[in-house]
Amino acid sequence: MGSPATDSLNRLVSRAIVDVFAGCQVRLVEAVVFSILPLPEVDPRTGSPTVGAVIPFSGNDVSGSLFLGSTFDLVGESRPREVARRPLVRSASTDWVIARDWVGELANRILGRVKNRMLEIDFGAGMPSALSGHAITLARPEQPSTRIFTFEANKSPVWAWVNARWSSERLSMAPSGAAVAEGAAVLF
Amino acid sequence: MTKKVMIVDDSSVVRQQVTSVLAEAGFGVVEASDGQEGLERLKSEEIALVLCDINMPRMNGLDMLERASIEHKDVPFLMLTTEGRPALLARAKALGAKGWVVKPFVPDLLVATVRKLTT
Repeated sequence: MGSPATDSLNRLVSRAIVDVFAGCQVRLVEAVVFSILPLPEVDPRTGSPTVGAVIPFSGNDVSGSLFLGSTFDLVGESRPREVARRPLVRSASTDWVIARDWVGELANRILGRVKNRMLEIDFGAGMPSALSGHAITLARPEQPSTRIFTFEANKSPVWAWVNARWSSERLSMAPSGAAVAEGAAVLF
Repeated sequence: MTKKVMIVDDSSVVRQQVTSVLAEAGFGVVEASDGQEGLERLKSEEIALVLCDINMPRMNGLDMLERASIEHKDVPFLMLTTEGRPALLARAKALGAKGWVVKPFVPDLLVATVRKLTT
């Protein structure tokens, strides 16, 4: 059981992950069957390998990182429909580049949603670093504040963890509507 | 004459998506993967509008906007980003941006906004 601020942040991150994938026509449900660490080793003959991205963030009141990982297949399926007419193929090296590119963008969008709802906390995001492979091992962050989220869609797992340190007394959520909503266009 | 829009974004998938949507609407599209490349393209191409991400390597979108507002002040900028914070919008507006779209964009709305800014 965390503090009210921690609980709010967890709900916010969880919602952001679900909403970002929903925007990509992928409906996530919370999963308890997938363990995040260690990432399961995938049989290259049968299973879909892992693709992931980590984004650091920092500011006066908060710093940490967000990791997002899923399978090559699900990341490929979550691409915008205008570009997803051709499915990604594991044997094509250029398609791995596309998968890493897109999982980085998804992580960026999740962090963007979180930022847009925490207007009183000023922090900036770094560039996503993406990785991919059949047998990825990630070191578990040492901080007890690390929160791990697991979802599934189309029988594929989606893992995310947020490793954040912040001044909890400053953590308050922005009222909805304070930031420009996702999908909206504003002319100056 | 076909109007040319430049999409500046470090994600190749986003560039491809924007290119598909705008090409279908009759626009020519030029791509750049960061602000530095975008500025170079502005020197060599006749661009009717720049659609510009913010968080990019080498040169971010706001730095590109600031540079372009001096060297290419007639080219309108429409920011396309995951960010929706009012302070950031105010900064972009002060630097001369004409509008702001928060990702993920709605294709029809993006086309309508681009049309408005290029007419």
